[in-house]
Formats: sequence, structure tokens, C-alpha cells
Amino acid sequence: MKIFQKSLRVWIATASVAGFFGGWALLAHAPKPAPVTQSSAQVELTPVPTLAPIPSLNGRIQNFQQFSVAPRTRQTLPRFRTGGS
Amino acid sequence: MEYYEFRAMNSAIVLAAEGDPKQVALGFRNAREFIEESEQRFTRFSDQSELSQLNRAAGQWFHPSPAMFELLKLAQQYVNLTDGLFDPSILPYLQRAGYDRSMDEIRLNGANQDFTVSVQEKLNFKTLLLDEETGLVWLPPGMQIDLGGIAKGWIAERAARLLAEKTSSCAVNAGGDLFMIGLPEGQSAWEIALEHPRDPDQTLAILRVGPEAVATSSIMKRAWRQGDRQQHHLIDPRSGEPAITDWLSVTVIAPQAATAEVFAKVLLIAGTEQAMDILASQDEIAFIAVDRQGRLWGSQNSKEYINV
Repeated sequence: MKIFQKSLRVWIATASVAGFFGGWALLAHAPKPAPVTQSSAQVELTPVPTLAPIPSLNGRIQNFQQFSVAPRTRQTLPRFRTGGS
Repeated sequence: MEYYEFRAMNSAIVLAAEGDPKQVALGFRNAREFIEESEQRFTRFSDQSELSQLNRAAGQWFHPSPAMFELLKLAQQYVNLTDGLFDPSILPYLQRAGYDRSMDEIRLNGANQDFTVSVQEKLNFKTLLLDEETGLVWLPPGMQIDLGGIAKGWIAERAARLLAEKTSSCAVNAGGDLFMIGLPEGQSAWEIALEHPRDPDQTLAILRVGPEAVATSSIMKRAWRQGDRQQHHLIDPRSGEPAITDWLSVTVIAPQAATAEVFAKVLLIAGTEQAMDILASQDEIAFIAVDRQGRLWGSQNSKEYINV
């Protein structure tokens, strides 16, 4: 049993070291990325499409008055509430 | 002020009244009986209800109760007044959007997920016939109606009037549709908290209103998921789909509860563009709305009601 454990440790250690150096060698010989030949300023971008404004709140909302909402500071709120059904 | 609370019409009901305690108790009992009886009559979630019987009788003459006849007649008037933006004959579209069972059941078990159900071409509610002489009603074949957009307000007002027979001042709140009669003793107005549509525990403003009606419609309260869609119960009769609107909620103050309820829905469905046109012809109503950023807006005449 002890021999088996010792062999396993040796095998794991060897495989780790071999894997590390193998990966290093592989990356060292991998093709390098092509250098950028065109500056970003020269790239022609297609124009971003403009979105139509949301029709609702842009136009006639000025016909309504806006009320500022502040957190309620009153200790007691009315028993009756309305919030939709 | 005495209060009495119970649940009906899938909503919290609050009754309030002042006067002799025995008479107030009697008024509460009468109002509750009326509300529960009306719920049985107008619900579409019971096969036994009068509304379900009427829908099954489409294509034939039907003998409705006086209450049903009155409400259908009122509904037809609002269909004309709102140019069809209020329309009770949207029931097939509501069911297709997933609202084919009560809201309590949807919250418990989810909505109908089959949104591929085909719906026949929209029928015009104006073609519903009401015979004043015989008291009969005729629904065109295939027409199915839902009175959810008007019945609650109408019931709240009727219940308040019953309660007022026994009390000096009273109010009925049916899930946010309110009708007030008289004023609380020593007070110059009824105070009503306006909830934030996204967080009902948050109060946006206190409304101070007289003996009149208040109703709020919101796309946040009766809402559910159907597949990847977020649906709500306010169907735009023009598209047959849940309304795409600028507002999260619209509150209307009006002399009658049905007017407040109908116009809260119509203004929410119409959105900002059309709301001004509608309000221009309705000077007796005040309009308060919450937009998608949680900002509070109001018609010029709403200022007198708002205490922010």
C-alpha cells in the first residue's frame, strides 16, 4: 500500500512538471498575433441609427403639472388608500 | 369614525361611517350584503353568476336583473363617451392575455400560459341591444363581456348610498375605488393616501377630497407573467393586447364612482398624447398620474386635491 502511495505521488509530481514545461514550449512556439496596421482613427464606422423619441412624455406632458414627491413624515397616514385595482 | 373591513371582489373593502353606533352597524351589514350579492351577480369567475349566464346567452334575448340592465346601460354610455377606449367586450382578449381565472388564483398558481389562443374579430359593444320597454338585453353572437372596468366603482357608490341611509357621513373603499358621502365631523375633506404603484407601502401624496369619488387604475397591481411577457389586466381595445402606456397608475376624482373608474382606465390606456384631448372634454374630472420614473403629474385642476 505504501509503495502504491509513493508511486502515485511520484507520478503526479512528474506529470505536473512535464505538463508545465510542455505547455510553456507549446506557447513559446505558437504564432504571434498580427500587428495592428490601421489606427483606430482611420476605421470607418457605420453611423449609429438614431432612435425615434418615445412619443409620449416628450410632447404634451408640459400641459400637466408635476408635483414633487417627498417621503411622508406624518406619523399617521389616512386609513383610506388608493393605488389601483 | 367607525370602520369595517372585509374581503370581496378580490379586493380589500373598507367601510367607514359616523352616526349612532347601532345604525352604523346596521348600515355596515346592509352595505356588505349588497357588495357580496353584487359580486355574485357581476363576477365572470363563477359559472352561476348572472354575467356568465348573459355571456352564454349571446345571440339570444336575455332577461337581466334591473341592476345588470342599469350597469349595461351605463357601460354603453361610457363606451360612447370614450370613443371605445372603454369597452367591456374585451373579455376574449383578457383571457388570451392569461387572465382567465381570478387574480387570487393567478397569484397562487400562475396564469394561463397559452397565448396562442385565437380570438375572433373584435365585436363592437355598441351593437349590444337594450330594450327599455321589456327590460331585455341582446348580445351579438360571440360577444363576451367583462364588467370589471366599471362594476366595482358602481358597487362602491351604491353601497355608500345604502350606508348613508343609516349614517350621517360615510365612505366605501373597494380596492382603491372610493365613494364618499358627507364629510367626517369637524373635517373639511376626506384624506386618502395615494400609493406608489411599485411599492404600495410607500405613500406618494395625501389626497384631500370632498363628497365625491376617487378611483385608481394601475398596470402593476393585476399583473402576471405569460411566457416571457409581462402582462396586465388593462386591455387596449384598439390592439387587443395589454396597454402599452406612459403611466404606471392613473387616479381620477369625479362626481360619480363609475366615471372615476372608467376614466382612470381610459386615461391610463390612452397615455399622455390622448389624455389631454379626453380631459379637455371632461372638466368635471381631475387627473393624477404616476409615470415610469415614479414622478407625480396632474391636470391643472388636480392641485386643489393634492397635499404632497
